[in-house]
Amino acid sequence: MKHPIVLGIETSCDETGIGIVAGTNLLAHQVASSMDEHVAFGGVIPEIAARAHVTEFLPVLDAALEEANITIDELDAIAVTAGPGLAGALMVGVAGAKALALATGKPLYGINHLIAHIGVGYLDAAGSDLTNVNQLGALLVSGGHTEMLKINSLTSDVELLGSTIDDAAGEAYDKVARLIGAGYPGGPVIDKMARQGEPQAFKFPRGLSAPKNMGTVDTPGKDRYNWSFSGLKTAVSRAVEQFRIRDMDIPANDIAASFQEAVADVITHKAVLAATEQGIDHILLGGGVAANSRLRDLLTQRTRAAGIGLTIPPINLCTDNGAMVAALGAQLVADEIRSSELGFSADPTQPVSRISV
Amino acid sequence: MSKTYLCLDTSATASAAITRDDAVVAHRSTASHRNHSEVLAGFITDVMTEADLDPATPNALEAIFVGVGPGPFTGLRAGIITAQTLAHAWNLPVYGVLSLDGLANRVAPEAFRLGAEEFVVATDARRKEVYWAHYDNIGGQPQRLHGPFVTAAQEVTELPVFGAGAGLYPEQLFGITGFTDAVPDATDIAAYGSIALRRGRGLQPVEPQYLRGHDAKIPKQLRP
Repeated sequence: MKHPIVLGIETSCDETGIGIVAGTNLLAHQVASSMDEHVAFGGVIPEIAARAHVTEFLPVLDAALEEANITIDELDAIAVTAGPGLAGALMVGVAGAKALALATGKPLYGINHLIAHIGVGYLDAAGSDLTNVNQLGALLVSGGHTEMLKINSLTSDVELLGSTIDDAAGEAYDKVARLIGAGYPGGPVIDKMARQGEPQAFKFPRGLSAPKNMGTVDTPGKDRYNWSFSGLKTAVSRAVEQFRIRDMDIPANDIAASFQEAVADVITHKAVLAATEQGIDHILLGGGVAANSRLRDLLTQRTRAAGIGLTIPPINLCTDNGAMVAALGAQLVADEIRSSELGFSADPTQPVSRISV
Repeated sequence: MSKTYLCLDTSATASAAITRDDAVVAHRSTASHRNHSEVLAGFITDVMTEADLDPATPNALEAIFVGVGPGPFTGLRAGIITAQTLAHAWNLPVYGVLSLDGLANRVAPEAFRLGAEEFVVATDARRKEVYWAHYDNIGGQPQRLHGPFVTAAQEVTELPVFGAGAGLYPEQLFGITGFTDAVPDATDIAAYGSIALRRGRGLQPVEPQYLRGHDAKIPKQLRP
């Protein structure tokens, strides 16, 4: 099938997303977010997210079908995020998708959320033609993930080059925003404050960047392409504390700018290093933190300097959504990958090597 | 007139049934409390096939009944989202039944036989608590007086108790022999649901009866 019509369902975190594609053509892109309900807590509360998915599932489904102006019968397949993600949240989408597949007799694909962030790059709406890229890599940075991937084949062979060993970058943003009383979600508020601040005011650490972590090209350290943000968060916390015990005003803008600089610096440095050393000539950026202005600027500069191509899809395709799930589903159908049995489990820790279940 | 229903419950274990004219024609259930989203779709396919219903065009199906809990959240949601989505795709009505009401309807004849004018149905709520409700027994049919609640076993009204909650807390609850491991099943939901539909009362909105909040606490830094 050349241009399969696929409906994609995403419920791995706090967005209930349902999208529809025909091959690489985006037909519908509907997202309901429970973000407002998490604001008071300064982070996503899994049970709140799962409850919201139950309420939003059918309205979002109808909105997507209406936007695409098709009926369920016209679909060639259904795809759903099987993992990784929050267990309770994932299970709502998986159960709903199975019911939809059962009721319609359509094949169902339980897919990998991270690979879907890459799959979205293949949509016409993502703005670049990845089919001519020699060796594609992907940098995923979000509230739940920080990964560098090498894509040998989107539907059958994706290799994890590096990832965070503790907090995701977006999580670090949320925690630091909490520390300096900036609000939630941390990404946009810190990005805004950072514009009024001095990025060199504080020398915050770049995790896992010491020679013993990095090693050399020939004898790489095991964390050469890995990240860690917990030390950075602690450093920010101590800086805030030192101002507080002296009863001094906290220079929140400078802290925000210096923190953001540390994050963007270490992410882009290691991503471009991994790309250069692993023969990657084009990087696709995905995940919600792709909206961050400093990360985008620095990544653009550094990929350009290294002669590496860069695709940054529109931000509403970078954040979690159903269109990306549909996009990957369409590629799986086109590549004749077998569909999933209805008995599959949601897998909160699904590895990137498991593209579909 | 012949009425065929699909019935689901995932408030404790997971189960699916097809009933026709109040008789169970196909039934599947698991003893596990933890794999609802894996087994449920297969159960539904099985019971429909056994009842000669085509899942793609189940013309003979009249409606869907689903147990809305109370029950552990993740499993409960699997049943409810499944029922809602099937009903939506098939363009059929879907009705909620309080899962405790379903179980009460099964045990009420026994309670009547034992001379219990009032009784309690209790199931496992984890975290050292039970989900329960208090029923009046009208000629072997249950009428819910209070509840549903989620509390520690010692706070349950002192009456004969039916259901797995009694088996878990034998010191605090007066369990009825033969019913101390009973949990709501799709067939209970079918039996109670079809009576409630006929009588026009006793059905619930199709939404999870969580009874508990989400437990999240506002972090220290964010408190005013």
